Amino acid sequence: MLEEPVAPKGTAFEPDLYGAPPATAWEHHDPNIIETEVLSPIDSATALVLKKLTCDLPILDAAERRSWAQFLVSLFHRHRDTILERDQHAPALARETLARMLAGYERAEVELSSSMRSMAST
Amino acid sequence: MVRSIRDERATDAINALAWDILTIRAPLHFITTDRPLLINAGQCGMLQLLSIPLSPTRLLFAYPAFWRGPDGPVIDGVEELRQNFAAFHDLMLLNEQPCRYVYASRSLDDNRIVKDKVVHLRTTVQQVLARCR
Repeated sequence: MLEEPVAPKGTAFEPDLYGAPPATAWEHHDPNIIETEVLSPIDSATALVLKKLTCDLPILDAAERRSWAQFLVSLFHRHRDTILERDQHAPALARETLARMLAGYERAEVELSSSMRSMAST
Repeated sequence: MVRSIRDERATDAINALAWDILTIRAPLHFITTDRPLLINAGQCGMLQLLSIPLSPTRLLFAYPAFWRGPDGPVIDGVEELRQNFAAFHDLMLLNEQPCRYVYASRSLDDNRIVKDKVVHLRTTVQQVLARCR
């Protein structure tokens, strides 16, 4: 067991944990989009709620309760191990999705050629 | 991940619970971990109990709203459950949630007396961390 005093800020920080780099050449989104667009807003709202929850008479309004509930939901999904496990399955899932899309495309192409042939013959 | 986090059914389920803040007094203090959220005290099934340490002395404890009336718990045993939850939360959290990091506001020892029982918290933390690394 490694025991040391640490400041809460940045503790157990994992670089690029929530990174989502573009997967294709035609995607141009910010790789940190999950952090900036999803988690940061949740965490910012939650920080204010936490202050209230830790005061002597914690009273939350409906929006604050909802913010806190969403933060708790996010905890289910943002642990390092959960994300790494999900990331391990991602390539196989991407391959399956691509194969399904290509199969659908080929089917549509065959159907299109067939209908064009029948239109030409009429 | 994003879809799951934004799933309103999950948010609604948590929001529908009654929320209480349980407090303990020094020298007792809550620890927390990189998996601070404890659901149903580690048991499976639909969401009924939820807890998360908010500070070394405060714990958010959520339970079915129908267990609570305007003046507090209305079901027998709820008050006892709340007290036990606060007293043994550290052990439940450690044993039910595999974690890599444990955070405490003070050094852990093996001499904590909780409800007349000696809690070997330091040893438990060592065992849990050894298991999870």
